[in-house]
Amino acid sequence: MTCGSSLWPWLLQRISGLFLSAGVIIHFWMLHKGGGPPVYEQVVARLISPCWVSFYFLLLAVLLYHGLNGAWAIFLDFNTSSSAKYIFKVTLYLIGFCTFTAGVIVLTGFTP
Amino acid sequence: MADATFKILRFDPDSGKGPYFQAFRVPLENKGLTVLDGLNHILENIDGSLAFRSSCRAAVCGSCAMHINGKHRLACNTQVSSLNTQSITIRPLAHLEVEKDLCVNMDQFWEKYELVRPYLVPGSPPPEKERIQSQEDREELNVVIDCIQCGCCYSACPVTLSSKEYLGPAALLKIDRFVSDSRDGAHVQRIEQADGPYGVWRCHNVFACQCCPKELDPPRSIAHVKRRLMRRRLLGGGK
Amino acid sequence: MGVFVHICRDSGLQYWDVILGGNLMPYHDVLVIGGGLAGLRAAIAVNEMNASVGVISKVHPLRSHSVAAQGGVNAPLGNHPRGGHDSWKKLAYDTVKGSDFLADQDAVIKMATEAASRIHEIEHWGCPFSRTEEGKIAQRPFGGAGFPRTCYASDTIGHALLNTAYEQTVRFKQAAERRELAIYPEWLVLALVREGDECQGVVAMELKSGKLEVFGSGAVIFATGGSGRIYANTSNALINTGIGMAVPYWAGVPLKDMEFEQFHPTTLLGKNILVTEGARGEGGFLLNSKGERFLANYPDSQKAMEVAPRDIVSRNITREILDGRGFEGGGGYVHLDLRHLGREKIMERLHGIRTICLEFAGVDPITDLIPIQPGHHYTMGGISCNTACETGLHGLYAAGEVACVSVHGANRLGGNSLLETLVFGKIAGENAAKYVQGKGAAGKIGKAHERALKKTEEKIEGLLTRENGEDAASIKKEMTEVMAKKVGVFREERCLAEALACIKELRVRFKDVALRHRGRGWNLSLQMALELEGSLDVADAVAAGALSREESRGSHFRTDFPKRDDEKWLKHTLAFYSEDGARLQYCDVRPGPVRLEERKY
Repeated sequence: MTCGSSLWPWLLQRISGLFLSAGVIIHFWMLHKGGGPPVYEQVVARLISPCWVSFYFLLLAVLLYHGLNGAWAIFLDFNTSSSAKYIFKVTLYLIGFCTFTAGVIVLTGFTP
Repeated sequence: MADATFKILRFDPDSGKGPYFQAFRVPLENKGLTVLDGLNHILENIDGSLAFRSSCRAAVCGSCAMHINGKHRLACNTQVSSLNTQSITIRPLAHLEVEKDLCVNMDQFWEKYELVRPYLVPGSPPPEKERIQSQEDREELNVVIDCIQCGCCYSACPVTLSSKEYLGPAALLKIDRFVSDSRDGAHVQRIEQADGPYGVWRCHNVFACQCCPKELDPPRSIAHVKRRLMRRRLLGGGK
Repeated sequence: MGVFVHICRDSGLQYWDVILGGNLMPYHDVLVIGGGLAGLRAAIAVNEMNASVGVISKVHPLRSHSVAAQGGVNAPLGNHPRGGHDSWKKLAYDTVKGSDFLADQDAVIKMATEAASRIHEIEHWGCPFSRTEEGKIAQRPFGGAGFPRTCYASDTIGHALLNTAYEQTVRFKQAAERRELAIYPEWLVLALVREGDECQGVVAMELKSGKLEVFGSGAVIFATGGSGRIYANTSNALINTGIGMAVPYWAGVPLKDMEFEQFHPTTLLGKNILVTEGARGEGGFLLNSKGERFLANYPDSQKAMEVAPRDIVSRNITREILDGRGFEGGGGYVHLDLRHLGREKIMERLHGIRTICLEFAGVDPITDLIPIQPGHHYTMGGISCNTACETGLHGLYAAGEVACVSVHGANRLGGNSLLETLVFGKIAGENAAKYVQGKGAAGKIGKAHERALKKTEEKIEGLLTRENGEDAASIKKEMTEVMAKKVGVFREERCLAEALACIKELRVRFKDVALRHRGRGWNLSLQMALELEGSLDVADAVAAGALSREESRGSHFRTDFPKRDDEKWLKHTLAFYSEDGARLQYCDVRPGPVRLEERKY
């Protein structure tokens, strides 16, 4: 159970939500631009552009924060024991860590 | 005039029977008949085993809060004619343990009331006469002092059911009552108490607590405390 | 609608474990019976004197009838522009004159001198009084008062004061350095534990379980409020049955001045919910069916008009109705007109009244006339006690409406009842705490405790096991109706004698009452029957006192003796309990600086 102020997670959840509603639109727009199938060259161009890679890192991090913090908030609504809370929290951190690592590997390990 | 049918959720832990609905016919003698009048009629004339709380019968004491036709309200100021139906379904307040019929155990409600230091912590030693409070400062209290602790908002809130530690709308409103009082000197400690994971941030803005029979607005108070916290954490500063 | 869950226990409780024979019982230095304003103020005073205190209340303290007070509380603060020359002496004079000279003047002086400090104290505790432009406590004019001195919080002063007092008991309860302050909500006190001429505790029933328990204490303070529910047409809460007066009465403590029952001029037609005197204090008019301000036609109210004292206004309204200048229906009524005050003033100072009118009468005071009629409002009489709140029984104290100190005499002024609770609540608490200091804790059950517990237990067993008897509800209905009809605003010998005979008959019939439900937990039928026994005895004392007092004084108006008779009747009535009903005695009124005069406003 977290101690101290719960203002930050509450505020960050809203800020990340705002960021995601814009970021996800950009993401989808880029993937499906022009209505046709994604062009391999364009994807390659994005994945070697530092700007785009940073954007994807940010998108991944914010998405994970928003999703996992949301799950944690829902979990807090249930009247659970402190040990269950601990286990769930560790699980969330693990999911977050693994997913983020996988993202890092995909994004940085790409060679055209 | 026609009769009204009172369908009441009955439960007596001594009887060993599970909760069940029982219907009673109540004559609509006068048009001002309230649900509480109906319950008293049943108690005195039909079934002496019915249990419910009542005291002032004028909507100021908060005893007779119950769930009537889909809404938490006071039995004493709910006129049967205002329900626009002659079929009235009455259940006890939700989320609280039923002691018998419409009497619920309000201990956890009062525990949370006591948890928020529900008394003035003066900011200065008492003067010889009264503390001076301007009419504008006093007006701030108009929207928070009328709470009668009936428990309607608390029972309507879905978060109080799932999250036992959540302070709930009534206690958060009580925090706002003192935070809004110019004479109180513990504003910072009060809003910091509301800052924990089971304070204002646990409110999911369901707005179910807006069923208040005194027409108070707990979400407004919760938002008020949130704004103060935001100002304090982001901009620093005292209050 | 949201999630909806009811939590119901499957297993029953283990009810009925009576503790007997030397076992430990709950013990507090002082027990306070009643959790209203007087009770809570007393409990705080006891705790401030470093004694442990238990508050036993029939309902949660915040559900007490104090919460319903509307108008305000009197104190000569001089905050009103017209109140500059106000003083405690003038408050005392108004109170004595209002009481029709039946009040004990030493008690009135005590109350008047302490008024300002009690009000400042509860303001320091956080009571949200309305404010003047300078930010001081706002005051309004009230009936029978020479200056505007009634401190108000919109029109919900009772709610403001009771919540503040309860908040303070929570603070005291939580203070680690203090002795215990325990609250027992929803326990009904049924008997005193009396050993010789000493009070040593009470027997109480937990309403939730029906369990009987004996509580030990060095002193007991009764602060259980009035007995308005002996009348059918009362503004009192459903809980004000008078059992709190009956319990000491049964134990031999006399009730004083019970014939003086206040009828409030403005209770809402039908349900008799109070419409504050503040409505008239702020400038409301009383109109008859011709639309006249009829109070001008009566010599005793033609100067003060709507702000004449309650007994006078109630009588003049009743006369107007009896003479056919009222409206018919619901026992007759006249109109209260607030329309000329305007929306803004009504919303600011009388918003609670507006809500009540909308919810219970379907009229909006901003645009409509309010149908009102006089209704029973306050019990001036009560447990006889002195200015130290001591009764005849050692260790038994009384404060608030249940007590008769007496500061209200034959008619209480509006705004004085709350003041009485604060002033005498504190005095009772302090004196009870002083009384127990030096006495050792007696947490063991003695012979007297066992006796009282057994007797109460037998009474309950008797009620629960009796079959084929009369219904308590019908007896209650008859009692309240006969009181309203025959011991009302106007009284005369024949009616009073009939009422007394009827009450006596009901007392006999009560012995054969059978219940509709025999369970123990939350048995409202049992509770009603137990309290009805007290109500009947209190009603008997009221009717007997009224029949015997052959004069008109304050709220007690005898059409056959329409004049005040100071020669014969400037004295208090004392009613002692006996099997056949009240035995009456009389004692002198304690005079003081205020001289007798004719009462005109």
